[in-house]
Formats: sequence, structure tokens, C-alpha cells
Amino acid sequence: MNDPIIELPDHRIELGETLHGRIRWTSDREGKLEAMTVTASWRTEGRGEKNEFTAATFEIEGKALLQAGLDFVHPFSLKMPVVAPLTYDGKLIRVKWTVDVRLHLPWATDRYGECRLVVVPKGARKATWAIPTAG
Amino acid sequence: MAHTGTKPDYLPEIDGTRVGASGMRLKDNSDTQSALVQSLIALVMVPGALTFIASNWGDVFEMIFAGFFLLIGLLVAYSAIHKIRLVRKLDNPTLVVEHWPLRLGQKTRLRFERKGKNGTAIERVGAKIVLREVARYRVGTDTRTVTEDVFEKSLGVAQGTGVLTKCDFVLEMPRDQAASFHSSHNRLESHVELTMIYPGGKDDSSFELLVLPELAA
Repeated sequence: MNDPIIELPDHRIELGETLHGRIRWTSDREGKLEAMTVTASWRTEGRGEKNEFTAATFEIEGKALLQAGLDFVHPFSLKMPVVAPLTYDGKLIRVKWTVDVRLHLPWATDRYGECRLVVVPKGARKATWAIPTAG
Repeated sequence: MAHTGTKPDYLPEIDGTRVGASGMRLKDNSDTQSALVQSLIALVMVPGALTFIASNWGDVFEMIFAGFFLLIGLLVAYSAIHKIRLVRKLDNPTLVVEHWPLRLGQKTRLRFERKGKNGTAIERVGAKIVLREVARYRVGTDTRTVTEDVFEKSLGVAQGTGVLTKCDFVLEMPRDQAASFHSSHNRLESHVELTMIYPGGKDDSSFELLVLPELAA
């Protein structure tokens, strides 16, 4: 069975903005979707122990009907925090942001999807701004 | 092991005193604190090691063991004496940052102030901005910290101005570097580091800045 796809018009987002996107998934059989959770979260990678945090969450609950072979498409929006770590690629530390989706299916194992997000400082869309890298 | 916080502490808490509408006065008390802590360590280690050697005189293994601690104690005492002499010559340094908190790409003025005692005057002050990564990790039961300076830029060198040295530097925060970030095991820190030359020695000071994750207008 395939994994849900997260569709974003732009993978770069400023802190404080609202991220809009869509979840697309094709079920191979008929059934009900019990809940869908979409999150924006960051985690550190590198030499230090991992720090991670879910910064924004979008949830729907209810019994959406899924039809075999037909796309299930649902929009979502995530309000990004004003203060949070920016995407960073350093020597000892990297900060990575992802959008994750979980489809809760009572009749099958839950489905998960993930896509990368680049979080830039407030005001960066109007200016040229590159992900900080060490060296 | 992952550390997932419920209330993230992204930004450093930096002590300082507000100056005017938007400025901040930062103080570096590390010389006084080092002098006090090192003096206490030396006062415990040196007499302790000497007492141990005296009570175990003749036992070579125990004398070598205590001699090792005596050596460390003497090195700490030497460093403490150096710090005490420094504290007797110079007050603690302060740095006034004209805009606080800072933003990426923001230009601001820094005023460094340090008063000499007993006629001591600082001859020269050099300043630079440093972006530092600090990562903490565990090896067994030990927690280790590793740091890496990933960006460094000189802000220039200023001449001292008598017993009360006041000198200004212009800081332009880099636009394409990281903002301040503090989490339990990973930190991105921006520091202004100063090196002061005074008659008979030199001293370093470091002030951490608060840099918000937004571009200056």
C-alpha cells in the first residue's frame, strides 16, 4: 500500500507564517479514515544528543469514506511559531524541519508520510537568504 | 536518546541592564568569579596534598599520588594569583549594545567600557564576532561538550583612552548566519569577544548576544 503524499506549494516558509498544503493518498480498498494528523516539527542532528519538538499540529477527526483507487485529498494549514530554530546545516549541529502526516486507519496499519521543510527567518522571502552552513 | 521538550527554550536568557529605549548593558564577571573559585580550589588542594605527603612520608607510591594533586593545586594557585592581580588592576568589563535583541543583518554600535585601578590603563582593545556551535553528548555516564567556531569576523582594534577605557565598535550581524538557539543539548551562540592589552599582560572577555530569527528591516 502506498504512503500519503504531502503537497506544498513552497517548501520554504518564514517563521510566523501559515503553511498551507494538501494531503493526497490513494487507498487500495474501501474503508474509513478515522483521523488525520499533520505536524510541523524540528529535530537536531549531529554530534549532540537529539533535541526535537513539534511546533504546529493540524488534526481532523471523523469518518471520511475512502474509495478504492480514488484519491483522498484533504487540505491542511499549520501556523508556524514566531520564535523557533531556523533550518541550519553546520559542522556539529544540523536543524532539520519536516512536515509529517499520519492517517489513522482502523482497518489497517496507520500510514505515514514526511517531507522536508526549509524554515527561514521572518522577512527572508523578500530578500535572498541561504541556509546557514558552517565554513 | 531523544529529548523532547514540552516548553522549548530556544533563546538564551542573558542577564543585563536596560540602557535607554533599546540598549542593553552586559557585564562580564568571569575574572572575579574565576579568581574566587580558583583560590578556593588551591586553598583546599595544596594544604590537603601537603598534609597527605607529610602523613605518608616514605611511602613512594602515595607520595607520587599526592604529588600529582600538589602539582595541579600549584598550577591552579598560579592561575588564581594571575586572576587576583588582574582583578586588582582592572574592573569587570561591560559592553553596551545599542539595539537589543539583535536581528540577522542588523547594524548596531557596541560600546566597551573598562576602568583601570591604581593608574592601570588599557592600551589596546580588539573585538570580533564569533558564531559558536555547542553540542553535548553522553559517553557512558559522562556528559561531554564539544564546541566549534563556525564563523568569525574582526570588528577592528581600538586604542585605550586612559584609566577609563571607552571604545566603540560597529557590529553588523551576518545575514546568512544562524540566530541564537539554545536547547538542552545543542546550542548556536553569537559572541562578541574582546582582547585587552594592558601593561604587563592581556585579558579576554566574551559577551553572548541575543539574535532573533528574523531579518532586520
